[in-house]
Amino acid sequence: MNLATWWKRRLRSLFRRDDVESDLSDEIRLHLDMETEDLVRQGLTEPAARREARARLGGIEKTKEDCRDARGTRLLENLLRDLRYGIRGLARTPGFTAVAILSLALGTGANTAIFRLLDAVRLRSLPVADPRQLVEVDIAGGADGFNHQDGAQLTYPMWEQLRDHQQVFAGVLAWSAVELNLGRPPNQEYVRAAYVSGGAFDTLGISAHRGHLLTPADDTPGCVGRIVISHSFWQRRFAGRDSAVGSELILEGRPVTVIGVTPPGFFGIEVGQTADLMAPICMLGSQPKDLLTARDEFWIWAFARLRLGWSAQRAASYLQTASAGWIQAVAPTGHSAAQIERFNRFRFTATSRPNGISPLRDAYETSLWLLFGITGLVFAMACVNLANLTLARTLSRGKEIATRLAIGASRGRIVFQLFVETLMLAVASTAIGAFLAGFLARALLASAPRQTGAIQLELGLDWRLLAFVFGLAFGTCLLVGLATACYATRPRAVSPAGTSTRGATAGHRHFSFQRLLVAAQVSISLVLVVSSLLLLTSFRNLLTLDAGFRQSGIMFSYLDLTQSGLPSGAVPELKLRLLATIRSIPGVAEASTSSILPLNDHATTLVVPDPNTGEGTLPRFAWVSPQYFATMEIPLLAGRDFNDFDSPSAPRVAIVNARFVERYFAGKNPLGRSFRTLQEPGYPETIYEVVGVVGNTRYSNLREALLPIAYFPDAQEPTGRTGKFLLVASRTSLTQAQLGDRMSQALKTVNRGIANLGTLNFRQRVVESLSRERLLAWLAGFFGVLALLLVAIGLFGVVSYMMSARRREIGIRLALGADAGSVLRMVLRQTLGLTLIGCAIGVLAGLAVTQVARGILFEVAPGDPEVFGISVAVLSLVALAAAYLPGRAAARTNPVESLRAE
Amino acid sequence: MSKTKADLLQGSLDLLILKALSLGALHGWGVSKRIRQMSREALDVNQGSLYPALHRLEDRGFITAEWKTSDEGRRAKFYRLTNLGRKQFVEEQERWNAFATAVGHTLRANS
Repeated sequence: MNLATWWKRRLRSLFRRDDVESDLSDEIRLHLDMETEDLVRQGLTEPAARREARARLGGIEKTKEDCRDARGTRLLENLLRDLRYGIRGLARTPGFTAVAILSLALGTGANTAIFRLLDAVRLRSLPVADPRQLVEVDIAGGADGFNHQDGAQLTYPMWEQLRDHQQVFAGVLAWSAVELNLGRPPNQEYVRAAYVSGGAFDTLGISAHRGHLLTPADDTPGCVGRIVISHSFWQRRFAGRDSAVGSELILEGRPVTVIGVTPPGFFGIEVGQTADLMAPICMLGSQPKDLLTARDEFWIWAFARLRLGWSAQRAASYLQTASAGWIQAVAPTGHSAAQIERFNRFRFTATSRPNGISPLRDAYETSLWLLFGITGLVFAMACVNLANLTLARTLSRGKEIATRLAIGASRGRIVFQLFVETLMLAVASTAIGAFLAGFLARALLASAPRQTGAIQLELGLDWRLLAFVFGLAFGTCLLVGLATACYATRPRAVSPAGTSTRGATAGHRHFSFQRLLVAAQVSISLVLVVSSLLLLTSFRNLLTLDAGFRQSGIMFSYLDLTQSGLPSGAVPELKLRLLATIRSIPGVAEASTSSILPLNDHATTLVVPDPNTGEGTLPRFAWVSPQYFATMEIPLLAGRDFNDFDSPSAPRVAIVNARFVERYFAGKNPLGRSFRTLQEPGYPETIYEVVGVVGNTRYSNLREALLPIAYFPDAQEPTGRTGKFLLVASRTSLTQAQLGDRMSQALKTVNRGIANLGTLNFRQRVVESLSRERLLAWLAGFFGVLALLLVAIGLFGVVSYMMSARRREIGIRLALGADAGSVLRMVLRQTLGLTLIGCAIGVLAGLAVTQVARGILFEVAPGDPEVFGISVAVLSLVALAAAYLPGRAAARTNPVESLRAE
Repeated sequence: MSKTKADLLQGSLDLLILKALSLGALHGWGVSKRIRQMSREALDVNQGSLYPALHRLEDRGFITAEWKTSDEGRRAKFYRLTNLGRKQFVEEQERWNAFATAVGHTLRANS
């Protein structure tokens, strides 16, 4: 029979059931009529014939049933009927349905969203050929003490040594991420770009999507302006037109030609940023420093492809020996002997990096795993909740199930019917969860700002993810549904109608499994609440941390003095006049200059020999004008502030912080004593006399330990660098905008050529730097509250069910004279007991689990007893509140009614 | 060929129905009567299993059904063989004959 007929039959039996049924009735009736007639013809009376006919048939309904079975559409009909019943059943209890779907959807969605982010940031390999063969070549132990650009590892001369002398890699490449200026004013924009070595694309195994890519021939010095663009840039800027290849762009003021487009999905080797343009390194200009020859500027990332059969460790040991000669050949000059000694001890090493490099990953990976754990727990809670509520629902239909089993329904059919309800919950929550996952992932990305611009991550939607989502929600729902359905239809569990509930106390056996589920929920919830409290506390600690200086009411302004038209000799006087003018702005209490912006993740270091061992150490430094400490409200503990006598021709002086005194002066009074900094290009070896001691402050960021810091008068800054750009710190009651305006006006009165490049609100900036912690705290807090909500709902449902199952028992108690209060107290006491057991398990689990967050938490221990104590208290209160209403309702039962109700 | 007893009965009922319909369209009661006739009153089909068998054969596509007016003026559901049914009938017949022959040989065997 062909497929069409098969389907027609199935559909007919589904949608024209009434017709099919009446057909069947007619057919059977006809048969009986004719058999009866036949028997009458044989001599029986009408009624006898009818009886005989029916007897021969063997039961009308049974025959009809058999016919229906024989039709083979049974399965589909049953399924459809079960689905209809299921939907109706769920619609009858909208509260349960809503809670179950939403909590499961949220758990699935959040978990999947985090998984997508983790996948993009951590798990996915670079979209290049054989990413497992890629290694990063960098300096073992890091190259401390020299200028780094954003974690880059090599100098250009070092890279040249590697490129020209290495003998073990199938290919090497150099990469440097930058922001470049595209276009001419007024249409200029900054784009993320990279300088790459000519052989980079070969080594990565990338071929052009359009046009050509750079080749080793592009490595010649003073090269022609040929660049490659990324696929997304090609779409954005050229709308994907082929004419893009060969077109001209203005890059950093120079014309360049686009020679090709990289394949879609390729973004470079830095995860979290897309290199829109890739230019050969030789295109680098020679301002401000000739980076191509500078031996002490580290700005290159070097990658290499391993040969077949080579491992990263083997490559690393090769580099360990081979690189000694290369590095010594490119040692810098103009540094102290100690620094050069340190440089010569550097060695290359190779580390496997199939997923590229990523400052984004380093900053967020732990947080993401943490969030993954948290959302996983939420999901587990939602599942336990679902199981509990489903179980309660199913058990409350015990009589119905018993009756059906008694009249012959197969256990399988009933299990299937109960299971179908859970199946529909699974479908609904998976659908919502999948949608949420997409939305949440994008929202999380958007709300995690980095100072260098938006994060660019390819959020994949591959089959792995879909399998994850569906497997998660579906699998659990199915498991829960089947498990509760089987449990509820156990032969022991149900007895024929009328007898199961006549017992004075309904079986406590039912309750133990439910109690187990509730305890599980409570324990998971405790872990979640503890986690959120820990993260919230950590965030609050950071937010309220005393960094050693004032934060609110402090503004930093960048001033550009290069167009002032004054000779360099006149600059110090200009600075004094500028500061005086700024101080005279109404609303500005104090102003001064500084060479560094505090808490900016940058560090200025010079080498100071350790007083005992003579080994080179790296304290922190800053050049500041007089009144800096007053501006920032850093306490002056001893000695004096800088003043106008600390001029370029005066002896060199320094003001140090208390840590510096501990470290270099053994804690004794340093006033009048001195220390030495070693030579570096632009910074000759100098001896400084200590004239003051100030309080400790944080330097690069809030989390860092307190480091030894020494301040020098900016008038004595040797390179004159502070003469071109000024960073002015102002203590003011004005807003950022107000100060910016008034400062620009004030500057004009001093010199027309001075520009105010921008004013930033220091406190705001500090808070922004905590955006990661804030995000974590907010999310953890949200999930903590969600966990409490789920516990409350779960307990409410379970206690309600228990109360209704024990109505007779309670009725008897009340009838025998117990007062309503004691019933309520009993309920609350039992709930509290259960909660405390759950909390105990939760505390043990929590103590173990929170250890992973140790690196993230700030000034709060993972096992903080106060946090755990508060969590237990909160959970107990929530549990009692949840049990109160059903308990009170139970206490108010009318004993006569409850006894009569059976 | 190792069918169980129930299978055997079901299989032979199907065969008889197909045979009955091979001679012309009939309604259910008519099939039962014709089988009785053809077997010279030896085979009396269990009427409780007749209709399920008819529905099953229809589901498999060996017979089709149609509501028509019978000779007596009644509206009845008439079944008739399809081409597939005809083919199936031939196959079943051969299988049955082979089976009967085999049983015969077995029963006549001396050793």
